Formats: sequence, C-alpha cells, structure tokens
Amino acid sequence: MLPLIHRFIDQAADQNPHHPAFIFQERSLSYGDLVLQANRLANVLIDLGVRPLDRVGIYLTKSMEIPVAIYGILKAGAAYVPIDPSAPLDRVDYMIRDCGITHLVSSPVRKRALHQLLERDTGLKAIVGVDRELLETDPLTCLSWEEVLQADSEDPPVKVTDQDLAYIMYTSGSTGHPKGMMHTHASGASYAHYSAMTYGVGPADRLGNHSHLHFDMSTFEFLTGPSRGATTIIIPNEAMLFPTRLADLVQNEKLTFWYSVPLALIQMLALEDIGNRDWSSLRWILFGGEPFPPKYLRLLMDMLPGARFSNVYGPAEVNQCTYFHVTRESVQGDQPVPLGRVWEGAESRILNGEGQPVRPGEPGELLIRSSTMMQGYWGKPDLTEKSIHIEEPLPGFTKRFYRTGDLVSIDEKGLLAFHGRKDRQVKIRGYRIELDELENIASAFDEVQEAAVVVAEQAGGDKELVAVLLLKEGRNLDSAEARKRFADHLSAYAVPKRIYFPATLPRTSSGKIDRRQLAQEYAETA
Amino acid sequence: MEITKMPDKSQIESEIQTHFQGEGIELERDEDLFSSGQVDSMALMQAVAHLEATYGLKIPPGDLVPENFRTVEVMADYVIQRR
Repeated sequence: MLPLIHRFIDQAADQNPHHPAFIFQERSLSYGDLVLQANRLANVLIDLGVRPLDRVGIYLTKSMEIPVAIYGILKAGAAYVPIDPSAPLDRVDYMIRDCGITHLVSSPVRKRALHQLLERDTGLKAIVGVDRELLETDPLTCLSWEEVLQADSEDPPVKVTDQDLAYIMYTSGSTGHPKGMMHTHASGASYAHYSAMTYGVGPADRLGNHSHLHFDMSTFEFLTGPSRGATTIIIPNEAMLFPTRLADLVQNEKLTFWYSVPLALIQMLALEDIGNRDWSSLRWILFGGEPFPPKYLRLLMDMLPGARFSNVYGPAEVNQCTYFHVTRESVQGDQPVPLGRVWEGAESRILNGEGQPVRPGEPGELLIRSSTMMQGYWGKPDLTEKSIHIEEPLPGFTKRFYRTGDLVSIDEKGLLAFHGRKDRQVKIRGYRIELDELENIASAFDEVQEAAVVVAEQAGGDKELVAVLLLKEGRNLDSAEARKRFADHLSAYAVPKRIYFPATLPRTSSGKIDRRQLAQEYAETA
Repeated sequence: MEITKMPDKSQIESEIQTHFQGEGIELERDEDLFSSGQVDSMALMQAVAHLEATYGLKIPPGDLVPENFRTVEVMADYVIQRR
C-alpha cells in the first residue's frame, strides 16, 4: 500500500535524519529537522482550528518555508492549496473564496499583498508566518515563523486515509475563473511512486526545483524527491529570471536531475559562455509542458553526452501518464519528439468523434485511467462529470477515464504523438491557458461588444496571445488600459501581448468570429 | 513614451514604477523585485523591453544580471549609467 504523502518525510528521517531534504540559497534543511518543523506547523494549525479536509493556502514565493508548509499542512490532516504569488489580487481573492480557505501560510515578504487582501472580505481567519505587528487587523490571528518554531514538535494524532484530500491545484478555466483540481494522498503518492520508479530517483539524487509550487511539475521535487529520500534544491527567483544564474546553479549545486519546460533550457543554451559550465553531474533531464524543438535538444545532447533525456507528458489532472526516453535517432530531423509510451500506472483509450477506438496512426482524443488521477474539480460536479468517461466492463464494476482533450495518435510500437487540442486550451511558453477564459474576461469590460483572443506568431517564430476587441458604438478603450484590466485578473504570462481594436471582425459563413483569420491577420511577418 | 530631455533619477524611478503598475505590479523604489515573487519572467522581459524603448538603450545579454535589476532604484541607476 502507498503511504500517506506526509509519511514520506517521516520515513526518510527514520532512515537518514541528517541527510539534506531541501536546500535554498545558503540554507540546508535535513529530513530530521523538516519533520520537526512540519510537526510544529501542524500543531499550530490544529490549535488555530484547522481540521481534517480543511483547505490551507500556501501564499509563498520560492523559499525554505514551502516544504515546511506542504508537510505541516498535510500532517494537520488538511489539504494545501498553492496560490501563485505573482497572481493579481482578484485571482487570489477568487481562489480563497472558491475553496473556502480560512488559514493561510505566508511570509513577511508578501506583506503588501496581504494588507490589500485583508481589505477585502475574504473570510480569512488566520495567517501563519507573519508577525502580528505587520498586519494589525482584528479579529485575524497572526503567528510568526519564530513562534511556529516554539510549538510542540510531536507528530499530531490525526486520522487521515489515502482517499482524503491532499492538495488542490488551480489552473486556467474556460469560464473566466480558474478551476481547482482535487488530488488525494493516493493520487499524489501514486505519482511520486511511478515517477520515482520510471526515473530511478534515489537518496543520492539532487533535484533542481525550477517550477513554481502552483504548477503541477513541482510535484516531482516536492513529492517524488522526499518519497525516495533525495535532496531538492529550491531554485531562487533570481536564478529563475536570469539564465546565466540558472546555469551557474546547475553547476554549483551539482544537480543530478533537471525538470522544466523546454524554454528554460533553451535560454541557457543561448548563453555565450554556456560551454564553460561544468554540468557533468546531471544524469537525467526531464522536460514537458510543450514540445522541445529537436535542433535545441540535439545541442543539449551534444553538450551532455553522459545524461539521459526524457519527454514527460500528462495533464495536471492525471499528474503524468506517458514517458519517452529520447534517443539520438528520435531527434534526427525536425519531427517533434513523441509523447511516448503510457506508463505502467495508467491505462489509455484513444477515441474518435464517435467514441470508437482509432486505428494506429489515426488521431483521436486521449483518455487516461490511473491511480495518479484527480478526484475531480473543486465545487464543479458538472465539469467533473463532463471530463470523465465511464466504462462498465463487468456488472457494477466501473472504470473512470479522464478525457484529456488532447488529440493523439498511436503507432505500431505503442508510441503516442501529439496532434493538437479538441478545445481552445493553448500552451504559451509552457503555460496552460484557456483562450475562452481570456475572452470571458474581456467581454466583461464595459466598453467591449465582442472579444476574440487568438494565438498568433510573432516575428521570431514564437507564439503569443493577441486580443482583438470590438468596442460598443461611441465607446473608447486604449491598449494600455485594456492590458491593465487583463492584468487585474490574470498572471503576467496569460495577459495578451498585443491588443487591437478594429472597427469590424471577420466572420465565418455562420456569423461566428473567424478566429483562424484573425490569427493569420495578426501574425507578425518577419 | 518619447523622452526628449534627459530625465533625472527620480523621474526615471517614477516612470519605471508607472510601467510596473500598468502590469498590475506595485513596487516601492527600494523593494527587492526577486524576493517578493511578484515579478515573473514575462514581467521582467517586458520591463527590459520597456527600458530599451523608452530610454533608447540596447541592453547587452551580459548586462541581464540581477545586480542591474534588483530594485527600481537600481534600474534607474543602470539607465543613467548606460545613457
């Protein structure tokens, strides 16, 4: 049986209490100390009224407090909800209300945002990690990290089973608001198990945590790493923002695993002095989120002849479901790298428009059934039901498949290839964005009659978001103001790069906005 | 925005703050951009492009280091030194 997620650190501490669990800048936290700190936080949360199944927000940027928050919240029997620290307040406010967060784990660097948040009626009762003097608002309770470290370090006796809620991950939702994916201890621990097995993660490994906590890729470092007693190096924001610092960190921290979107690797490859870095400690490079252009992948493989390379695929709803170990032969031409094989923990179907299985080579929608799969979307039973396909192979015995919305084909060898989306979800620089969410936000602007958001090519060949807004008669809006309004609801990566206000929109014969035409019209031709 | 006369440091600072505000990011002049986590890579790239366009600079890749962008003040110093 798989253990509860928070038992990962207890087991690692039993085996090797002094082994570093997490490293952030100059600080190192051993498994033994992580257990003590997580227990203390759990006891504090329980004292503050947190009960099993409660949702506790993590409003932290890259820092050593993140693993303490994750494991402390789980040890209190509650579920953690990562909140993007770069998200605008409206979005943070929405998530807090949406899943009823009353307790938040944060830090003094979020002071301004917390002040502004508390001016709203969010229902927050307590914030842990912030001194009382910083936020003088009754009846809110504040408790500093120093106070947490004085609390009782006994493992709290809380009843949790593997079917209980462990974390909720928010992602772009087509309605204009983000949607929360509910993962259980079982789905999170299964992902940790299968990923550790697929890539042979062990205690000697040093994982570089590139992805922010609110993206599902980070579960590899925050769950898989501890499940095998490995060391995770939390990459500070500074290094995230400057490729030269990132390249130094890979060398200095002697990372053995790297996992990110391709862009982060491509940016480092573009550094003039990249050849001077010693990256020989890297034994496995994982990438996912979007296709890796083969020409860059070949460069990277030339640079690191001793390392292995793998394409990772799987919507956050199922964590991961396929793997592909890249070979020289598979990146000879310009053909995209395959999504790979469905891994041991999952069963798949590829169905055509009529719900029938496709033949090899024929594209259809990928459905996945797996122990790593989410339970559903928070508070959205209709959406959950629509995303689930049920088979009943035996009377009363059912199989639940998640409809990924991804169109794939399978070849004779069992390798999956990606063909696009069924809906209007896009990936920009590896970020998952629903174009309908952006259109719904723009349609709510007072001045806007109709809104279309499309992905257009920019001069360098990269893709970017372009909003085309048809204004109501006699109304005015400029692009700076429109950008500001988008930014009030969306993280920076999802704000349209270019905004236009044409007098008319192109239409299809049925009168719908011709979005394909718009994408061509607004492509920047070099 | 077109700048014809060389602005002083304080003007550059307010102008940079205004740029970030337009992106939904509030920053004090001496606030560390990186530790608070509110500036992501997209916002940083846009700030770089903005400085180049507004002050007629070409920022070489070698200058894209945290030391030149840590705070609004530091960015203004960098702009003055590069002009």
